[in-house]
Amino acid sequence: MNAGGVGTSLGRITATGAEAEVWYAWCGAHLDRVDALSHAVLSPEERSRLDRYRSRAAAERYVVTRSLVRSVLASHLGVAPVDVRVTRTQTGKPVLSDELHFNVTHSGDLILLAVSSQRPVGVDVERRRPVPRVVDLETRWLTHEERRDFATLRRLGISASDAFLRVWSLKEARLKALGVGISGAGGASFTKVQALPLDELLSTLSPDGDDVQYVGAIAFA
Amino acid sequence: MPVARTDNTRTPRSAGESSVAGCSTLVALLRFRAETMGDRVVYRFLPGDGKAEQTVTYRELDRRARSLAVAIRERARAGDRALLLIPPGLDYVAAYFACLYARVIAVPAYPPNPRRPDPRIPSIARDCEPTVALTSGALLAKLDQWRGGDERLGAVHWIAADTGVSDASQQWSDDGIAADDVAMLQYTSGSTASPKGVVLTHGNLLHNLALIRSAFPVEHAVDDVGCFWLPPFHDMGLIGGILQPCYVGRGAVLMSSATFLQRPLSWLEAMSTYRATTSAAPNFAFDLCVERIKPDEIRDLDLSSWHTVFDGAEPIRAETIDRFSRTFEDAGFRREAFFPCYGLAEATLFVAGGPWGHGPYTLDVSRAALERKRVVPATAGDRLRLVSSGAPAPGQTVRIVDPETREERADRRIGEIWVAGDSVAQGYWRNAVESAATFGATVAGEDRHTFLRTGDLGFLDDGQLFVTGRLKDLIILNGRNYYPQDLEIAAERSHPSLRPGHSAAFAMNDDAARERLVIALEVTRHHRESDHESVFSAVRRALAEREGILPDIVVLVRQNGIPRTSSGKVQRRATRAMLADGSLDVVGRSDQTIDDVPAPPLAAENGAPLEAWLRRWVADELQIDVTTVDATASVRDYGLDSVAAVRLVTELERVLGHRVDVSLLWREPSIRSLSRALDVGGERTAPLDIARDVAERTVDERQVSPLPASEFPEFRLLQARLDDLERHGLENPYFRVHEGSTGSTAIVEGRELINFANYNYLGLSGDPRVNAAVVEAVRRYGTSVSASRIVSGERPIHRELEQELASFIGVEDCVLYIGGVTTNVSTISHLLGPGDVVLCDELLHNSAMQGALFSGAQRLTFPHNDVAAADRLLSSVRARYRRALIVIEGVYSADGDVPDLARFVAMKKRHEAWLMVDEAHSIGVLGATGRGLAEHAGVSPRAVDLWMGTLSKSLASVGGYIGARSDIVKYLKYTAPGFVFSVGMAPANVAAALEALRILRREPDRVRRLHDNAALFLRRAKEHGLNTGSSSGTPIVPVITGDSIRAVRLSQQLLHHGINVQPMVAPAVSESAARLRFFLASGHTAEQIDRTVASVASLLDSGA
Repeated sequence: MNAGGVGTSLGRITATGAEAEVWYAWCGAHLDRVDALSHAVLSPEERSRLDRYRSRAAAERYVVTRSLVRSVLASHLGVAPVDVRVTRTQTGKPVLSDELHFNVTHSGDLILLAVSSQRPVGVDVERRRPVPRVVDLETRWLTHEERRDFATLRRLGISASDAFLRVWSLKEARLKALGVGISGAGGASFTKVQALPLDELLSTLSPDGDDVQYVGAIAFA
Repeated sequence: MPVARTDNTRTPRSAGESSVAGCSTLVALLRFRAETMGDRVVYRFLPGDGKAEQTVTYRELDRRARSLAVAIRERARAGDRALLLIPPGLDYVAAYFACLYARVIAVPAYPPNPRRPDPRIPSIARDCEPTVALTSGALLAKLDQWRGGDERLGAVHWIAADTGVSDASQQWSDDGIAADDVAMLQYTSGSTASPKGVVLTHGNLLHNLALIRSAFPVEHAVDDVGCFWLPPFHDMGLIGGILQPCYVGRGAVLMSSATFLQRPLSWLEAMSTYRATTSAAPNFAFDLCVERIKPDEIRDLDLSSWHTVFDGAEPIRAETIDRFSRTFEDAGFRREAFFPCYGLAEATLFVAGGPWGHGPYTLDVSRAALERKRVVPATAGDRLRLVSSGAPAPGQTVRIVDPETREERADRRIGEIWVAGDSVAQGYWRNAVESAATFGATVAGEDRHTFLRTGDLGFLDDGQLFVTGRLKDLIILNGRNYYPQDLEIAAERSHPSLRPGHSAAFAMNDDAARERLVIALEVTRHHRESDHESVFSAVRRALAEREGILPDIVVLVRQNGIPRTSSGKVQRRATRAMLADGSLDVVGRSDQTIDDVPAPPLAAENGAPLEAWLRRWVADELQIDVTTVDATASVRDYGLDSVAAVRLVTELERVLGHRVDVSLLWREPSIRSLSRALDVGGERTAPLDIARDVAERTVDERQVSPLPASEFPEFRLLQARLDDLERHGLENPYFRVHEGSTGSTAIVEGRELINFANYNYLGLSGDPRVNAAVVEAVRRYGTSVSASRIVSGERPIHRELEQELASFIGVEDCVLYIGGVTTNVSTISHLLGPGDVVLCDELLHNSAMQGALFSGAQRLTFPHNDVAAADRLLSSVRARYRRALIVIEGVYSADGDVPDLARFVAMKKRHEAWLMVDEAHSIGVLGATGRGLAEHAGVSPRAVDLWMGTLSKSLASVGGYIGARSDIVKYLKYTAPGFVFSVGMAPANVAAALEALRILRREPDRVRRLHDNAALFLRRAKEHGLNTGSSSGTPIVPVITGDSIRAVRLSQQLLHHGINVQPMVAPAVSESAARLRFFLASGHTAEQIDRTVASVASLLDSGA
């Protein structure tokens, strides 16, 4: 844990021509610090965004997420967390600079942050859970290739929900690496975007013998 | 089953019980007041424009009435009618009483505007046949021309009530006026063409005045001051504003409605100045005050003495009461002063109201249930606040009755409001039929008592009467009831250009197809034409969201353009009539052009609008209470993740039936704005829950038509059309038997005719080589393949034909169907489904339309051959659908015209849509070698996704085909129901088409001859001045006759001239487009064509 901040290193992940550090935080571990963090670490815009949340859990998660991002990036940049200047691209992806790329995701209680000095990065994590009407989602949202992957996973005996979440997290990571939203999912070409599952890193979060509760993926644009 | 009676059915008291000092007539009443309080000012009239008020005492009023009565009796006998055409004011009041004093029947009417006299007045005059007309001296001079131009009005004696009367008061005598005498005719109902005068006796009037008085505590009566601007020719203005003050012996301040309308503040100023306690106004007046009176003007008002305001001219709006009460609170106005009431001229005036001093009773009900005529408590997302019209007055018996079965309804069940009692009028003047229908109703099982049918709908709850709408104004669409005022409220407030209280919603049934919902709205003076579109979409959106319905037509009307009654009620039926005959002052209009198939129902309860549905979805997803989900927050604010977001979108797409852009979820700042954005363009995304409506109907309500078919209305319509032919002395042109093979000639009843009535364009049917090929195929394969091709019905010639067709057309592959109609229906309905859209040319063949309909896809039509319109339509909707298919034809068989294929191809590429071309009449016909539209247009055949064609025309057989990419063809051959579940094409038919196709390829000259013949026919027809419509270079040439009978007759005369041509008549085309259709063939000779055109021209000239 870095001093006073939020976040623990989960490890490094290497792809062809790119490398990223992955950090994580459990939202629940910081609940008693939420107010302090929001005052000490968040920017005024972030604090005003906070007021708009209608769900307490969502608001708390927002504070911890921003704190994780600011703490880790601050240590990279050598500035105070509150001084980290995050801007957004035209499509709304939060970015820092050409030298340091980052991306953040959450699901359930887990927040993941990926940081890369080489390539724009996208990360996604999904808590394993039953997904209602998964077949409708599969036919509506997955590309031909993704549906093939889905079918392969199903043949390997993976449940439909798990299979969907795995394929989805790869897709989501790619989209986020490109900085486009789900609406860009239609015909976007993913051929240049490398995506890797995070199974190995995520398995370290579970005590020995327990089922891994999360699936995730990272992608480099 | 009789239901528990509520306390509304008390025995009516007789008028005598509550009369003033034993007065049994209004004449006796005013005379009594003149004697006992003669010097007291009874009326003050405020002329407006800063002019001084005019006053009259009881004594003076009595004197003036007597004088004028004498003048009237010089020209009329007792019981004659006197038209009152006097502007509001004291002269009016005096003239009204003068009629009663003269024992003639007063007929209050609107004073005519000399520049634009109201057509209702001559119409009323024809109905009541007045002997005299009373008007003002100023008006009389200006009405000369108008009076002279009307037979009835020209015959009456005109009296200037203000100037033309000398004091003859001493000569007046009572003449035995009695309670049963008819005092007046109140013309308030009925149309302009057939007005209905409600017959009111002195007894009716006094009974009702007593009822009104008894609704208030006695101690108020003496100090009361009324203040009224309602017109004196209106029941509320006359009885409530003029007679009631006289009845209780107090004074009233009167002003004209024009004064109020020009400056609403003048009403409240008068209330304030005269410390008035009582007034009356319809809903719109309160809205107008709120809108037009400024805060600093309110500060100067003192409305603290105001204890009663009758509010009852239309269903009362809670919103109006709240707004008015809030706005004028600072001036001392109390909400409790609102005295909602219910009444109508047919019951004199007052039927229900009160109890006094309580203020309005309200009831929150479920709007969705109300639409189904049920009153059930509101739920969080489904609330409508109804305002009670008060308790039925003790002397008025009120029942709620099912208008169809005449059975009384229980509390909280909606039915027609029926009234009995001594205030109920005698009937309509000299109109026994209408009177019996309206005044002679009996409740089922209780034939002894007759009731007045009010035509209003309502229910009773805890002794309070709630009026929900007019029976006749009720809009019933898709099996649901809509109250026009609900639609109006929702629509009016949707855009600042619109005027609250100035709109009319109604259903219009101008073609038999279905009822269309129209909403007409007045726009303010500040409205700009450039804002039209934003108003249209705001109105559509508001109605979809708040009422769950979309108007078919939105009409914007110039300020004050919507007709109203003299009391300010919007006249919906008159508005409808004016819209229909073009007299409505319309500044803008938007018709829903989209021929929609209703979207599938939203999964929410009772068809709650989209917003409620979204809130419920979020609540379910987060497992929180739906009431805590705030529509002003966005889904983002609830922390939905991306999987939840795509699940939401998937679900939305399922219920809305079209594609939804997922980025809307993040872009839209609130659930409310999201639900609006999902409704862009105003198309039908609102819930139309027809299935549940049907399911809710009980069995005995279901109508089952008996067999035989001759009982069906649709059969009777057919028979009527056939009979019509016979009546005109025409033979039945249908199912005419042709002997032998037909081509350019045919044999009918032994005579050889030049034949223009078949599609044997290339003369290949009957060709000996085709016949021989068929014989050979039958010899080899038999007459049927006896199974579906996919199972065991495949024969070598099936594939041969498919491959030769594919190569001829220029596509990868081809699949045969056994019928042309089957080809279209099966292919389109199989490739498209819910969530897709099919765009059809409006003149598309029925089979393609059916295919689109059966697919469950959204079906939209664009104007014939209008690429730009199709483009616009697709631009506005494309994003919301998965697949889009555009269907056009190669040659349209009604007009013989051709689409611009290149532009359609460019357009479909832009929209990522598929293009299908139906080549029924273009294969073998268009293009130098007969390869169809692609060859004709110089466009690559591969640019079109689906080529559909028939084998029954140029190709001398029967059946159809789809030519397309090989994957599509494969998919169809394995899965399309019309192919898989059908027997394979018969060998004879396959062989005929195959041989015809081979001949066509060998002998392209046939196509050239066809083109030459078509061009020659068209040229000759034009030389003879025949109307050939838009036919252009195709072998189909119409000759438009303009009416069906003429077309049929011409066809028969041509038959006698040895020419066979079929008429095409309504309903296949519109009546004015009725025509003969000439199908040219390659085998026609120049002589045959010349002779035919000349015969047609000469028959038409000789008046065929």
